[in-house]
Amino acid sequence: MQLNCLQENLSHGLGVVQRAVATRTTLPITQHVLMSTDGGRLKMSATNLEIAISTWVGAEIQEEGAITVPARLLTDFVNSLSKQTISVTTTSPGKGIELKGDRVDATINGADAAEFPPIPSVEDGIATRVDPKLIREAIHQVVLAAAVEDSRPVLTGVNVELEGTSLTLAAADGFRLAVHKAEVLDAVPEKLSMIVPARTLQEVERLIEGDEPIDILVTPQRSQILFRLKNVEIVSQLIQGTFPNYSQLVPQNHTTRVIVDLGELQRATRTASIFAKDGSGIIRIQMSPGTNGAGTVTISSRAEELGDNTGEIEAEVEGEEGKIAFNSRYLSDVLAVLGKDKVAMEMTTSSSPGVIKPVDSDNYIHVVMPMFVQWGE
Amino acid sequence: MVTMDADENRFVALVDLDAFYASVETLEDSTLVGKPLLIGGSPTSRGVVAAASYEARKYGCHSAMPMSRAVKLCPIAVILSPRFSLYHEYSQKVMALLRRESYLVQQMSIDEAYVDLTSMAKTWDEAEGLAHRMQGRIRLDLGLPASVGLASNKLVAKVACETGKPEGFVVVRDGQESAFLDGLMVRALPGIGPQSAQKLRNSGFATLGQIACASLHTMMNILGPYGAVIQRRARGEDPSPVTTDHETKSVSAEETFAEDVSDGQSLAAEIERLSKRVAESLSNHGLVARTITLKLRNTEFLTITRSSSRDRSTADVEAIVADALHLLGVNWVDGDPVRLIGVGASNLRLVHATGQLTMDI
Repeated sequence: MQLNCLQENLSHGLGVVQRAVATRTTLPITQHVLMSTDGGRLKMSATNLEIAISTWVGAEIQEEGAITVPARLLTDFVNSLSKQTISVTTTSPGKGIELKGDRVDATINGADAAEFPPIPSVEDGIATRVDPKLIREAIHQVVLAAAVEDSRPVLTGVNVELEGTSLTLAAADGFRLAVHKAEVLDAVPEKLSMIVPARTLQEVERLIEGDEPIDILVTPQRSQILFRLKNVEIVSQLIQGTFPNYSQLVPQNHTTRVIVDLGELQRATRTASIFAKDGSGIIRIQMSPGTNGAGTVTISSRAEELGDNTGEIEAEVEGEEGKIAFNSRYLSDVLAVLGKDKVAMEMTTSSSPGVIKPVDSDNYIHVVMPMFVQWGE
Repeated sequence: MVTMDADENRFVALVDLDAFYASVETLEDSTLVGKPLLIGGSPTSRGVVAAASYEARKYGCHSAMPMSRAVKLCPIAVILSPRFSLYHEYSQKVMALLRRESYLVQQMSIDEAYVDLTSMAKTWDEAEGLAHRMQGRIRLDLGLPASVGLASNKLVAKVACETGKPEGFVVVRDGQESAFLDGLMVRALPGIGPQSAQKLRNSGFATLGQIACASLHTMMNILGPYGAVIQRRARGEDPSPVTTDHETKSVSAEETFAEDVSDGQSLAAEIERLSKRVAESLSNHGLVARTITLKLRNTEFLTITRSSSRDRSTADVEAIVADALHLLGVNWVDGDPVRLIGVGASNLRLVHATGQLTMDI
C-alpha cells in the first residue's frame, strides 16, 4: 500500500474511529486501526468487537493494499505533526508502515490486515433513512436515561421501535424514563423493535454531520444494526433481551401542571444543586397557583448543618398546589436536553412520577421518579 | 425469578473463572505474569490463602491453606493482600457479559455462574458455538481465563468444567453422560466430600461408574438416605433448573483477628467498623434490614450466631451498632478470647434509603 494523505484527513479519520478502538484487551489487534485503500480513498476501521466504526478520507492512492497498526501510536504521531502531506507506505508486507512528511520520517510496526477481526457487513435487512437533525435530537434527549451499570443489560440500551414511518426511542434506568418520537423518511415493511447499546447511539450522535439522510439497516436476524453517515459507517451488536413495557410508566393524567421558562428553571436548579450536593441531592419543588393562572414555583434545597436556599420563579400554574422532590442530577440532566424556551412540569402526588416535557410539542416526554422527603407543615 | 421448564432438552453451561483473584492481579500488573502468586493474609499472622495462581498450585499451595504453610511450600511466591472490591468489579463485568448472552444466568459465586442456553440454541452445535463465544469474549474483552463445561444439566456441566481446568472447554452431550462420568473418581462428584469418599472407598467404590450401577440398597447401606441422591447424581441426573435470583437475602461483614481479642472495648470498636460496612452495603443497594446478627468464634473454633429483630427496618449505622453491641453484651463473657467477629443484617426490604423512589420495571 502506498498513498499520500493530508495530515488533517488522517487526524480526522483517526478521531472518528478512535472510540471503537479496544482500550483493554488480550486480543492486541483490536487496539489497531485497519488502514486500507477503497475506491480511491483511504478507509480506516476500528472495532472492539461490540461496535465497529469505519471512515473514508481523501487520499492519493498510488498502490492498493491494507495494513493494521496500533491506533494510539499512529494517532499520537499524526496529531503531533503540523498540517502537511504525509506519505504512507507499507514496509515489507504485513510488517508496518513508513510515514514521511515534511522533514519527518517514522515507521510504525503493525500486523497483517488479514489478522484484523472482520468488520461485520450489513448488506441486507430492514432499511430506512432518517433526517440527521431529527435522529440527533432524539438520541440526545433519550440516552441520558439509559442505565450506566450493567446489572440489567437491556437497560443500558435504548429501545428503538420502528413502525411505518414512526420511530420511537426510549430509555429507562429505573429512576427515569425518556421517550422521543420522530419520523423516518422511508416506511418500514414490518414493525421492528430492538435494543441498541446507548454507547453506540452516543457515537452516532457524535459523528453526525451535514444534512444528508442517514441510512439505518438492521440485519434479518436482528443481531446487528448499521448506521451509514456521510463517510462513516457504524456497525453495532444489538442487546438481546426484552425491553420492559414502559408505556404504563407514563402518567396518564395530572392534578398540577406548571409552565415555566426553561432558562429560569435551569438557573434555579443549578443554585439549589449547590446545597443539594451535601444533602442526598434532594431538590424540593413547590408549585403554587395564584390568580388568573399566574403562580409561582419555589425551588429549594438544604444541607444539614450547612444551610439552605430557596429560589422562586414565575409560572403558569394550573390545578392544585403541588409538592414534589427530585434528585438534582435527574432534574438538571433533563433540563439540559430540552432545548425549548418553555417547559411543562406535571404531577399528581409527591410520591408519584413527575413529568417534564417541552410545551407545544408532543414528541418528547421525560418521567422522573420523585424522592421521598418529609414535607413538614 | 426466571426459570426454564425442566422437562425439555437443555443446554446448560457452567462458566468458572480460572484462579480468578490471581488472574485479576496479573491483569492489573503485567510484571506478575508467570509468577506464583498467593493472595491472602500475611504469613506472620494467621492469614489464610484466599487464592493461589496455577504457578503456585504446582508447589502444592491451595486456597484455605494457612499462608505460613503456603509460603514454606513456595518461598518464591509473590504475596498480595486481596483487593476484593477490584475482584468484585471484574466479576460484575463478567456477569454482565454473560447476561448479554442469555437472560438465564445464575451466579453461584464471585467467579462462577451457570448459563442456560436452551432458549438460545436449537442444536448442540449451536449451544457449543455460543458457549465457546462466551469463553472467548471473557478472554478477549476482559482478559480473563475461564473454563467452561457444557452439558444437559448443571451437575454434569459442573463436573465437565472441573475436569477441563484451566481454560478448558468440555462438552458432554445428551446421552454421553455415563461415558463421561463412569471413569471419574468418586471425589469428582459435587456432594461427595472427604468423609463420604472414605466410606465409599472402604466399601470398594473407586469410580462413579461403580456407584451408578450399584444396587440402591448397597448405596443406602453405605451413605444412608443420601446414598440414593448420590447414585442419581453419579448417573448424571440433576433436574435442578438454572434460576435467576437477584434477591439479596443478607448482608454481612466479618473479621478474623490476627491475634485473639478479649477486651470489650476493642470488640466494640470492631463492631462499629463492621456495622459501618454493613450499613454502607445496605444503602448502596437501597435496602433496609429488620434483623441484625452477631457472629462470634472463639479459640476452640466454636461459632455462635445470635440475632435480634427490630420493630422497624433500618439501614442506619447507629441502630445496627446498638443492636450488635446489645447482642455482644448478652452473649459474650467478658474476657473470653474472640477469634472472629461478624455483623450481619437480614430480613431485607428494598426502599432506596436515599429516598429515591424507583420505577416498577
